[in-house]
Amino acid sequence: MRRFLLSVLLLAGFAVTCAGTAAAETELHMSNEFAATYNDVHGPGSASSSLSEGLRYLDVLNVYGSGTSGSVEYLFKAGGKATDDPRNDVRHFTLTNLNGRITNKIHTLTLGDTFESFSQYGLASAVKGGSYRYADPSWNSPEVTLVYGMAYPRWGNFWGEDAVERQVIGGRIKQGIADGLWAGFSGVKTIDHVRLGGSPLYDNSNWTADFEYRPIPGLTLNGEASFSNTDESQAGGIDLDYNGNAVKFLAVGDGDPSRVTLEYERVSPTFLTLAGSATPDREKVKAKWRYKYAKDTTLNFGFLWYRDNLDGQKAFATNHYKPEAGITVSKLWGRQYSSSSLTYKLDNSHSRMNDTWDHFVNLNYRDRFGVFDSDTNLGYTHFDTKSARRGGEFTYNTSLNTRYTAGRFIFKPSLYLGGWSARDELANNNDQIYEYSLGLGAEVPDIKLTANLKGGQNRLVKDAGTDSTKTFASLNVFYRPKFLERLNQGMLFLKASVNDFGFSTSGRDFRESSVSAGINVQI
Amino acid sequence: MTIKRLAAACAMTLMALAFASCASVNAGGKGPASPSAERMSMEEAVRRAVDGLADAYQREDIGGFMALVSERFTGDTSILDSSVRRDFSAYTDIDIRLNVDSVTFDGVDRAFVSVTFTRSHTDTGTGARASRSGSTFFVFRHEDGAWRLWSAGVPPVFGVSG
Repeated sequence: MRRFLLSVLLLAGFAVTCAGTAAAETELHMSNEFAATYNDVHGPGSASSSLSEGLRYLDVLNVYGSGTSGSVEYLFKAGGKATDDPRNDVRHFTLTNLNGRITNKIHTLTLGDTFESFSQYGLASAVKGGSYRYADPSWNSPEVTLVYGMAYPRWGNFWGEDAVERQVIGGRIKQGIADGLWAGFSGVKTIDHVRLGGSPLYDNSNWTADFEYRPIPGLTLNGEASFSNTDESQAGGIDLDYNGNAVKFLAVGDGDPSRVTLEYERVSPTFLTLAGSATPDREKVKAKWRYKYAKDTTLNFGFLWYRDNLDGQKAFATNHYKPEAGITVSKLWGRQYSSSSLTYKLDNSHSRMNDTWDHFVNLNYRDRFGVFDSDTNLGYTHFDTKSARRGGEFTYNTSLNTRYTAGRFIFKPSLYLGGWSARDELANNNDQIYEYSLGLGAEVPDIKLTANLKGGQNRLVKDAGTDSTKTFASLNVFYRPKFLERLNQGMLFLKASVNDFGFSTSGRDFRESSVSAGINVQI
Repeated sequence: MTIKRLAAACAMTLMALAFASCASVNAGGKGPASPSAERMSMEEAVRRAVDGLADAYQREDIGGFMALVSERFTGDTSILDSSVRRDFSAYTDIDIRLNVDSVTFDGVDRAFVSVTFTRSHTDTGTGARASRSGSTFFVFRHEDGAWRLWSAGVPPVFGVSG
């Protein structure tokens, strides 16, 4: 009943707001995309396909409106989706967006889909409800924001689609203190009301202070500290009450030729934010340095350390060390279109029970040779996890593209060759992937027609286990006909694809074919 | 059931009233600079960023993928980078379809994006094909003229192999 009342109140709010602006001239924009798709899946392994068989449709409609009435500006949006393909949505019709905002530049009221991002720990997700913001830029007044709503992922949750009923109530005050310095304080309370599938219910309060300071040009300091109190009610009747805290500090120095970032974060194991974002039980230190050594040469260095078990409750702690370095050089050997980069990254995790040393090396080279543009990647990864995994992976791929004009036609042929080779020393296995494809793009600019045709094969060949082959072809055609010009970039499209999957284990083969035709209009 | 039908009927009626009350409508507007046209254009930019992430991930292009991630990514860029690299090692023939359901802006520099996704891949360890669908969300941050991934919801779409 609570969510029903809130939904009716929100929609009534929209009606009243809109009626209040009826005297004004409203500007409307609309975008709509309709596609009809026919999917065919057959073969003994067709259950592995991600396509829904048969003729399906998808229509996505969004309406945007704005206008002014005296000193008041308003903006609204409504969106819906209709489909009979469960891969697009489980419901045939879905209200995807309903949002309205009215402001006189000092007072701002938002209804419907509301996103007020207070801070990372405090509030960093949208609610379906409303917010009020006061901010007067003409004098140094505090900026005050109040928000209320349900943290529902979908509007359908108001009328029957099950989801945890999570109420969010929050407020924030932000004040400019001096030139380049502001501070904010926020409180967010989230209360769960209806248990779903045995999930725990939370009553969580979160108090957060944050700031940003720019003492000199190019230097930015910011941070936040948060305290949370949580009452957790588990399905088995067990109730828990715990407190946690989180703190984060970030310093960014940005001035040619360097950009340096230093970061420290500590989130206690019992810190919980339901409307913000944080990884509990983590202490982290991070440093990054980007250095422009010369006009065409940039160096990158980074280091990340983090650990868990901050309260010592686990049997052991795991420390992670991730240093990385890279160099990017353009116009290598005086070649005008060349660009290359070399990166190295170490991923080390160490604990009393485990020790992992993974090394990643990647080399990329792009250049133009005559009429061909090339992009080549080479990568080597060495995995070493004590007694569990040791081996190496080698990846390599190159693509060649060119462009050829013949009268009113432009052709863009392309070739892709790639592979992956993995060696597992402990299992004494050697697995391979081979990938190759050919593409042909075509454009007819005077009639605004673009087409892409692509076909190829990917093969996974394993020493032990199931081999697989994917043979694929796709055709995409986009056409902006003259009769749709009035509909601001109206476009017709046709997409067709065939994926044929073959496996060395019987009973897994399947082929999926899809043809989709549609129209996209904007008014 | 009666309550649900009543709620749906009320919702539809009030929506119709809301739109009907917006008198003096100027369809198409005065030009691309109007707030509603600007909002539509911003949404398209966010949708392109979402498509860019999916495209780079499908091509197993770690550089292209991480270029669309904010250096302030809340789960840490370096940790996401390692997770995505492990995905590329563990899976092949990755296919990701992301349908953007809604984009909500905070009026400053962030956009909350709800998506419905279907991801399929072939496991390089077992050779088996797997497919999964669901709903999740992303938060994008506008940095240096581009929308970049700042936060990702649960269930994850990228970096699923740990």
